[in-house]
Amino acid sequence: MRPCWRAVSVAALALAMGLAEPARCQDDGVSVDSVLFGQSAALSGPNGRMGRDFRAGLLAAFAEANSRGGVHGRKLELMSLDDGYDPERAIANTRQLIDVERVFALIGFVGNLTARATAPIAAAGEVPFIAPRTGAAFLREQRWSNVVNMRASSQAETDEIVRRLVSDLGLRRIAVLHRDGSLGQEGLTGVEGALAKRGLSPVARAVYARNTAAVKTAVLELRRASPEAVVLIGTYRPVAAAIAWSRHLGLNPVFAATSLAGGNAMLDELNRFGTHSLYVTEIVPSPGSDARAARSYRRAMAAHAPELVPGFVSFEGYLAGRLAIVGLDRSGQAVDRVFFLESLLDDDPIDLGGFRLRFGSGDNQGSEQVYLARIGEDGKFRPASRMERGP
Amino acid sequence: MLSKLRALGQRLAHRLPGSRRGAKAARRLRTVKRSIAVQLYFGLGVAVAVTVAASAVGWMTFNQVGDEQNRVNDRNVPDLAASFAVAQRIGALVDKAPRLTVTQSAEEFESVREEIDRERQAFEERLGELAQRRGQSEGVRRVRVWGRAMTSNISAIEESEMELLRVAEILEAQRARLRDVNAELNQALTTLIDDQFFFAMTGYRDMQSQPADRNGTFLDAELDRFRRLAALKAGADLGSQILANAFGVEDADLLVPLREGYEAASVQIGRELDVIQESEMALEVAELFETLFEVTVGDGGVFDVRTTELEINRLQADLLAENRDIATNLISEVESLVSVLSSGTLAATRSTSEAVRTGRTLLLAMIVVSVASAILIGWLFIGRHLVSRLERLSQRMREMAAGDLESKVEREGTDEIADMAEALEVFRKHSLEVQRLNLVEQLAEDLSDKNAELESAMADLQKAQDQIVMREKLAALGELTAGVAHEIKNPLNFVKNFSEVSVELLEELQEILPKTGERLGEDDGADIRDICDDVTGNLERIRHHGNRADGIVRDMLMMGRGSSEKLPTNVNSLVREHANLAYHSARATDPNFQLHIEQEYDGRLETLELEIVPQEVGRVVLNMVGNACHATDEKRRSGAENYVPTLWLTTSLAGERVKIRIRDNGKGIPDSVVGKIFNPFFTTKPADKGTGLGLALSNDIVREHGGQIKVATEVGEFTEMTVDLPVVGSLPGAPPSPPGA
Repeated sequence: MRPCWRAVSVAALALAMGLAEPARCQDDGVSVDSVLFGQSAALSGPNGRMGRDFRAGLLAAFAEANSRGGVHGRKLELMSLDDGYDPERAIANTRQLIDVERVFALIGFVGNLTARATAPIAAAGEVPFIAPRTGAAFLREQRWSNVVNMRASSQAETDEIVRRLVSDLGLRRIAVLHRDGSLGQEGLTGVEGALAKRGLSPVARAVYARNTAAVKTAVLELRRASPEAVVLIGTYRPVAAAIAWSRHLGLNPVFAATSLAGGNAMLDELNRFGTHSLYVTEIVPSPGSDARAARSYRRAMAAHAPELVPGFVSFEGYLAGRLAIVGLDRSGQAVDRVFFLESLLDDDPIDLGGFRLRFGSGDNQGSEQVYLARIGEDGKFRPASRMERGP
Repeated sequence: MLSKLRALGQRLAHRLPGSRRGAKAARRLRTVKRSIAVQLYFGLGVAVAVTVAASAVGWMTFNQVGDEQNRVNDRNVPDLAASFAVAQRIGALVDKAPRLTVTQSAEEFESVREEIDRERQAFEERLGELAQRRGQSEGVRRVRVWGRAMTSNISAIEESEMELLRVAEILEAQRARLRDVNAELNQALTTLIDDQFFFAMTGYRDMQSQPADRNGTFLDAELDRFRRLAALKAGADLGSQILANAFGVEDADLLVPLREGYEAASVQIGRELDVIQESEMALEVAELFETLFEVTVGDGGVFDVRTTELEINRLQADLLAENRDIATNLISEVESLVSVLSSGTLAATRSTSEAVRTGRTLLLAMIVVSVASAILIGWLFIGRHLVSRLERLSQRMREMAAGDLESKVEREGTDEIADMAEALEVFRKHSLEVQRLNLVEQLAEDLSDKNAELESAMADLQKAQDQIVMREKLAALGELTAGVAHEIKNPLNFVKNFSEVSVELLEELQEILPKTGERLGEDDGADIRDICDDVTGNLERIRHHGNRADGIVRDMLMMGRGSSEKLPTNVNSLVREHANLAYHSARATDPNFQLHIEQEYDGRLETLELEIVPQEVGRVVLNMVGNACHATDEKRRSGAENYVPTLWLTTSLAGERVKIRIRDNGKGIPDSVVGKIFNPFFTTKPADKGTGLGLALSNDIVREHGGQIKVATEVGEFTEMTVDLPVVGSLPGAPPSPPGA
């Protein structure tokens, strides 16, 4: 075993200050040549695509680092467990990852409901909870000392959507279609708040049941209100279904979805229905853009997951992996969870190839950036600086 | 008294020859000298011997107690310890048994079972030990029987727990299965209902086909289908609710109605399913329901397994109750064993404490004997033999110091004290000798003192005699003076009268002269007038000095006459006259004498005449002024620079008293003398100058007038005599003068 000089020196310093605390060289999940991360996400079921894509991005980032010899000589490993977007299973998975598999940190939990159920367990065990794929306001509260949020909040996304709809297109009759439960409610509240600032309110609030694509009743509700625009807060299947059925019934408002809907998965769904033209907000730059992060992402994907089409979700996963690598790198040879979290959450900005994050004390929210994209009639993503009336 | 007794004793001794012989024998015995040290060593030796004897008795007693204690330690205590060990194991077993029933996993169960096995083994071992110690007694046999019952009970609990764990595993699997099936069912039913509603409202089933014709028949059929789907959903929800309850109940009896309710719901669901079985989705739903029912109400389904689990629970509760009963019996058996043993121990302890009590009593007796012997030795030897003799000796010494040297010091015993007594006797004899010599010397001294006293008395006497002679001389001189004065008075009268007549004659001559002057020359007339004037002046002088001499003579007569009659007198003129007399007297004896007199008389006394004997008071003034003259003259003669001899005469009236103050700035009176100045015959003047009676007489006179003399003086500075007289005379027969008159 290598001597852990940093811990020794820190312990000496602490002793000198009369604040001696037991110096631990290594935490769970850290060995001489590896660091183990744990992920619980929906890898199957209606939302399985999202978890799989995110995981692919993460793995690509890890493989990229490992191919360069790892971080401080340690290879990065990821253990992913399928929770099918079921909170109960997510809890069991998290316990298993912490208590049995003894992972160093949890990363890339996908979905609001599961993150909400598992973050407290991670907090109790003081296990880092890195880059969950949810914009929930709840995880951005100060009390979480172990949560590192990478993506912008869902509030930021709905704000951007409403701003664009009202300012760029001058629309006033705006409806919301959202999933039931806390996530959908949060999205609805976000839209209502943004509209209220402009003296408006939603003309319709349509709901569908989570874990289903049963949106037809909600579509009927939208039709009754005949809105000029519909904000969609949901995952790719119900969102795509809602757009398709609306259009089928002759309802043709401007559709705008949040990043919850995902990237390529939704594109595929839309293709299946044969309908396109949709604005989407994303919280990472376009994976096909010229940003350095996007270029290295594409390179990593080509090298380690050539079968996958690059997309927003896997790009987010890739960036989450890069974020974890920065944390490990900053922690140095004698990494432990406290150093790891501190090195991520300190004031030093983190630049992941142009995707800039900035944390600070009491601020576990890294990026505020919301990127607008448009899926055109050709069924392709294009970055958009503003909304325009489609042809 | 003591000496009397001793004398009596001696007389008796003389009369009794036998006792005399006894005393002689005792003296012979005592010739061997025993020192105090030897006697002390002997006394201490006796004390040590007594203490050693006491300690030996104590040691023997404790030995006995120790033996008794060892007996208890070797036999009863280990028996008790073995019984307690058995009781402890039983306690541990009883404690462990319930823990078997709450294990959560196979591993935990195994670890608890191992612990119990160990305890059981330990229990058997301890029981074996006890049996070995106590033999196969009835108590031990009973403990063994109950121990076997306990073991078999625990085995039964273990078996039931194993079964329970197995059932719990099955239930967990079923629960997971149910969760998945329910989730899928929920999704499917939600989608079906959503689809059905949409179809009913729009006529669209999918995007590819044309919308259906929404006529009345269509709507009736589709709404009925929608209702059934909703009923299925409600049935599924109800079913999962009942299942949740079934998982929660703790009483097997309660499971029966729950199962009944669930079966009713499933029958209802089956009926609805039969009607709507046409679409792919509906078939999937039917399959899901089938799976669900199999897991729940099928053979070995949730309800069956739960029933088994609760039955095992009940069995376990019974076994635990039995376990507690057995434990109670076991513990009571062990307790009775312990109580038998402790009664044995109690008896042993009792005999030990008996031995301790005996030892204590013996020790107490020994202490009493030790203390008594110590007191006895102290009293007999130190007190009576040493201290009392020392006291007697010291008493004798004190008596000798106080002066009793007559009685003899008796010698008692043969030790150092007797030697001291002998030495003291020698001292006494010497002291007596010395005392006698001292007495003779003292008598001689007294004699010489008396002699000196007599000599001084003789000198005093001589002095007094001289003074008396002097007085006699003065008295004779006074009488002579009075006679002479009387005789001189007549010729003085002649001198006065004829000088006066001569003056008149000369006046007449001068009147005549002018008439005859014409005959005479101018010059002759003038000469005659001049001569007449000179003669007239001479005659005036003769008359004046004649008057003066007459006054002096009159004064002398007055003095000599010595009248004691009180007369109203002007004090101011009295003082003035007598002061003058004294002054002149002093001037007469010494022409160099000087005195500046300052007088201050109270005007009120010019009108107030005191009732006094003027000669007497005048004598006082005379005497005092005379003294003042003498004192100032002495000081002048001593050659003081810038010295002006001064006399202050002051009279004053203060209320009812008149004060005559006579102050001089002479040599003053020394402190050693002030107290004696009123003594008769005391004088500081040479013997021929003063009688030493002046101030003594003055004091008498003033006192007779009801007054007093005060003296204030300072050596070399001043002397002030104040005569204080009452306004009202105090002599008997004197008429009181009204105040302020």
